[in-house]
Amino acid sequence: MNDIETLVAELEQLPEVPREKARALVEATLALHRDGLARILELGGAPLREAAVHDGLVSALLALHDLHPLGLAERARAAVERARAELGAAGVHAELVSVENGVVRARVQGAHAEDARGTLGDALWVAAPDAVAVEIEAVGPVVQLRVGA
Amino acid sequence: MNAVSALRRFVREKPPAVERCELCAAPVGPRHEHVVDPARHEMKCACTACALLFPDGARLLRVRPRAELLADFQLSDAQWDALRLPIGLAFFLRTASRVTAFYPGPAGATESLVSLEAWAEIARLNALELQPDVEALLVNRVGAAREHYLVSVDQCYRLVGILRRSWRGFSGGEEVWERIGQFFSELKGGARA
Repeated sequence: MNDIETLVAELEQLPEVPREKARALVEATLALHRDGLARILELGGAPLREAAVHDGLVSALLALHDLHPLGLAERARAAVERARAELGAAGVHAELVSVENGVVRARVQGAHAEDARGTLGDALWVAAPDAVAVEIEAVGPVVQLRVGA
Repeated sequence: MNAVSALRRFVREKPPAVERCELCAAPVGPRHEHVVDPARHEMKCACTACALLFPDGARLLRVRPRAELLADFQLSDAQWDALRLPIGLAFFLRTASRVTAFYPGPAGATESLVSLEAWAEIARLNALELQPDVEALLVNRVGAAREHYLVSVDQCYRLVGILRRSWRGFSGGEEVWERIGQFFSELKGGARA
């Protein structure tokens, strides 16, 4: 799957004519698949929608095409909730700060907060590929300051 | 960022609108029928069923796609000048009683009545028979071109649309003439004379 990111980056380096052709092809292919996914959702009704939301890959594809039954904020919140258990075990506290204009902001706090940023970021991008940006602030642990003996 | 989100930039803002029959609202494919309302100079997209439901003689006429390059068409410069059209681009439509020339411009098509004698001569010289209201003689005398086509009227609407959409400034700008050139090469490509 990483291939897609590499190819997209390489596409941007092409001269205009082949680049626009390739872009048009990808757009048309995605539009075709979007129509197909929409049709599948229609045919499957509520039980299929329910199952689709709980499958990581399908959920991501639905979000990509604005077909996901849950909104961006709801999905981001759920992703942070899911990550919280794993991060908590490592002594990191995770929370969602805001979702505004498609930008998802979250915070991780703890001794290993820097390491946790990547983990939470990946989880958020999977749940919300339609986000404009994902910003995660890492904050060090709360230290109890003691004065005097 | 991941593979799926990397594709997000290619997702079109809105899925392309489905074209619909303007008479019954049924979805139609990219290649669909057209009907014209000659009294209003109005063309509508139609599904096959609706196009067939309006037989000739009704208020709406079915447009059967047609584009023929008339390679041997005779129209001298003197005959053309006598028609007094301001640009080298025009189409001629016959109704039951008269012939009207239209020339496209940035604001749409402008009507210009053609004297029946002038038309009769041109039609006789070329044994031209147009289906009233749905077929037209399309003349392209832009630059060095001297081309004549027998086309269904939907092509005329298409040409008018191109001018309206792409005309810039006083002389139209490069883009519009490029698009007009493209229109005629497509017409020629599709027209088997």
